[in-house]
Amino acid sequence: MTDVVIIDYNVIKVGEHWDKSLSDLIFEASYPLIKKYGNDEIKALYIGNMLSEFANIQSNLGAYAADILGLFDIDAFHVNCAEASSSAAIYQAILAIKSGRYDVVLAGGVEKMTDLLYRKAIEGLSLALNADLVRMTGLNLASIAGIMTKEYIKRYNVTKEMITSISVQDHKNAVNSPHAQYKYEITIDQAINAPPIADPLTIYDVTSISDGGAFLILASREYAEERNLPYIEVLGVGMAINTLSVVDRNDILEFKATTKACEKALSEASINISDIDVYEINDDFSITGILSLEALGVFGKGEAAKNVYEGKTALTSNKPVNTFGGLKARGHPVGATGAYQTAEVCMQLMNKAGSNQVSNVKYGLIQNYGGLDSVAVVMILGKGDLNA
Amino acid sequence: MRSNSKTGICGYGAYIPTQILESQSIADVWQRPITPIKAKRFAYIDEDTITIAYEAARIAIESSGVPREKIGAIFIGSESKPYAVKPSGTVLADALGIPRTTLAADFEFACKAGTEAIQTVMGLVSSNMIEYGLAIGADTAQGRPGDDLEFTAAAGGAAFIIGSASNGVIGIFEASVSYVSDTPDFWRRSGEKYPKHLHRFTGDPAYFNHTINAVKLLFENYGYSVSDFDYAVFHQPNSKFPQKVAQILGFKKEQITPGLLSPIIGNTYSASSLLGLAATLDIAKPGERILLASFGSGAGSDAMSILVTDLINERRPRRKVRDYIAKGLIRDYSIYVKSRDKLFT
Amino acid sequence: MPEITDWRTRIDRYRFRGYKCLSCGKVYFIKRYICSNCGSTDIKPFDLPRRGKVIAYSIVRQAPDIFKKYEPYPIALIKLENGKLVLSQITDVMVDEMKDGIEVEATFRILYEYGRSGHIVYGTKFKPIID
Repeated sequence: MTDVVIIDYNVIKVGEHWDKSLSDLIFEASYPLIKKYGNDEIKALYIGNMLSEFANIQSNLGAYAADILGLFDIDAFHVNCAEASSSAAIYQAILAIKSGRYDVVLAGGVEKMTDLLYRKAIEGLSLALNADLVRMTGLNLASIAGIMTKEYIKRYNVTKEMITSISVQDHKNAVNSPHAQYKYEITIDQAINAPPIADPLTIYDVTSISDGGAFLILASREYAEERNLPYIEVLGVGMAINTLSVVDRNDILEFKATTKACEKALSEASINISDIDVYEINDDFSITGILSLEALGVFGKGEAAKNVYEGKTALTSNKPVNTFGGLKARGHPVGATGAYQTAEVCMQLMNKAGSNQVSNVKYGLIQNYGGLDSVAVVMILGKGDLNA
Repeated sequence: MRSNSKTGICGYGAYIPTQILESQSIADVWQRPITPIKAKRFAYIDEDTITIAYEAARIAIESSGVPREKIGAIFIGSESKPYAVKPSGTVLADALGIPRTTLAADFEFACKAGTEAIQTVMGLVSSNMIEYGLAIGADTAQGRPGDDLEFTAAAGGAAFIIGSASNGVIGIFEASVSYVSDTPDFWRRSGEKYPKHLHRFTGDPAYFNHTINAVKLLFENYGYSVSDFDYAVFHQPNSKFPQKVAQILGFKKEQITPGLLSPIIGNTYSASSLLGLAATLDIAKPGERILLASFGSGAGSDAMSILVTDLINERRPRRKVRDYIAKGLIRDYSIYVKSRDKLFT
Repeated sequence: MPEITDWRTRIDRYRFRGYKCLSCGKVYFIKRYICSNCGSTDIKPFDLPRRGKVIAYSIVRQAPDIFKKYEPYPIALIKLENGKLVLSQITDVMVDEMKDGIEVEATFRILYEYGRSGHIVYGTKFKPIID
């Protein structure tokens, strides 16, 4: 089967783009890549997006994006895996190239959330969970994360500060992240004493509403080598599912889908988790970042919060996590997040991370999930051939 | 009225909300003198007549031991039914697992709608049209802000499973009467949120006239006298009326005390006399006889005599009226106003 | 129309039912078609116990639109008497009266309504057992 590589990426600054529509974001995020690699080359596009029907009254996004880009002779797909839409879109692109059907594919995601008022956006995110469960209880995602936070604190005898420290770390990393939404530091005290969202979570434990778009060009290795294009290698991908009815899981603190997806990806890449040099993980809530690290096997059960708090995942550590601010500070335009994470790992591997550059990066991992780990995608990228 | 075959109560259940509003809170806001009612119970923001009826009915069905499949009617008497058109009974039937083949209707006769429901079920059971029926009185009374009745307008529910006396009952309905006339003491026009009343006119020409006449009718037609009864339960719009009517009829204070709840829970409208009955059944002994006389504005009174049987000791509900009264959460006027939907536009 | 979804799912909400695999006994809160433990499709609804203990609760401060009238409200992870974990709103108490670890019981309540002239949707919540 063909080897798949990533040859380029483009990201928009994440923020509240009141003046930009969904189509503006699609165009802005993807057109520079189309222009660079030419209309004729790109044979398929995969656009990840979670909420366009709910927020922007627009469906049929595959055709919509192709229409915007003036690409009518291509295969175009809208991929919706909730907040994991764009990593799933990238996965689809990988499979498509691996099959040999295409040489070059555009894949990524776009999300325009600010067309919704805050409460409505929160309601939109709950669409990823089991609808009957949401409707019979009136729950939202944050309240489940709040419950998980309390259970984690009780079970492992840690403090709330330790869990929230992952958000503090995210904000620190975002200061020099050009495309981040919130480029300022926060202190633990600020985070703990901030207004409540879903007690004990405050505004600094949960991601905000964001607009954004990010795309990548994936290709076969032959295509890249024939044209002397520098590339990053896709070494492994995995995906897995867990029940949307979080209360029917055997343990609400276990992200089993992430664990299985990671095992598959590591196995395909023939490496161990300890070989990973940089991690972009799904911390839509401070607790889910912690639980994701444990599910990936970066730390043992109950150990992640303490380790993050002690700086073991800082930019300068040997397990740097969310090097551009993560979901909390770089932002979480849900259907586009996976593409941002992937682009960020590429930046690290291509030595284009600026002040946030981690040294000696050989392998990078992306973990992106939807609906509190009901669907999880893990990708492992490696330094390919950067000498073009 | 006396039926050909006797019917009785197979089981009963009560429900009183946890939310308490003390009269002092109302008096403070409206700068009015406080009434003899100390406090009232009100429905929380997510309670209504249907939810209250459900809780009472659930306990009644459990304590009766009657299989749900055999219940053939659900009648709810209320002045605050949530829908003008849509029967409360079908929600209860689905919620309680009562079969699709049931009769379900909402009854209205102001505060005596619950006893109307009881009498109708008695008729259906004794004619063998149904084997068991559920009669409920439940209300979330609407108190007009600043009005005298705001002190007393309360919420509660009481449910009774009625079946043939030969099937095993805890209380036999020996006889019942109704006494009604067109009387404008208290009413609510369709579409209006709050009722209106004619103050002192609600006393002698309405409450006392009909209650006393109904009881006298029961005594005359069936040969009862005061001394035949161990307890009397009256409709309780306030604390004074039931005590006064008891005195006029010749009952002693001890006879009405077990069933006199209004001083601490307020006037639960269609549940008022029925909650009093439930509280009395909670402590009554086999062989004792209870007089029940409800009153509904508009106006009328249903009077009936209930003979307690040996089975009472085996079938008391797991939650008694005094269990509800012993616990509650005291709220202030602002929480009351928010819960009773007076703030929402 | 959401009223139709509400109608289709009403019995489980009204009676507080879960689903049990008749082959291996595993219990689910939300309807399942295939048992994730043994693969059987012999899964039937049953009445869940109506008492339990709050394991952990959080507070919903940004409720879905139809629940807006009631916010903020507590959402609790409850361990029922048979050990099954469920999620439920807690009612009767203000959010600052909530505590972890309290004993609660099931109660039939209004979940939401479609405005003043729309349907009222009922379901099961939990309330503290006050002593």
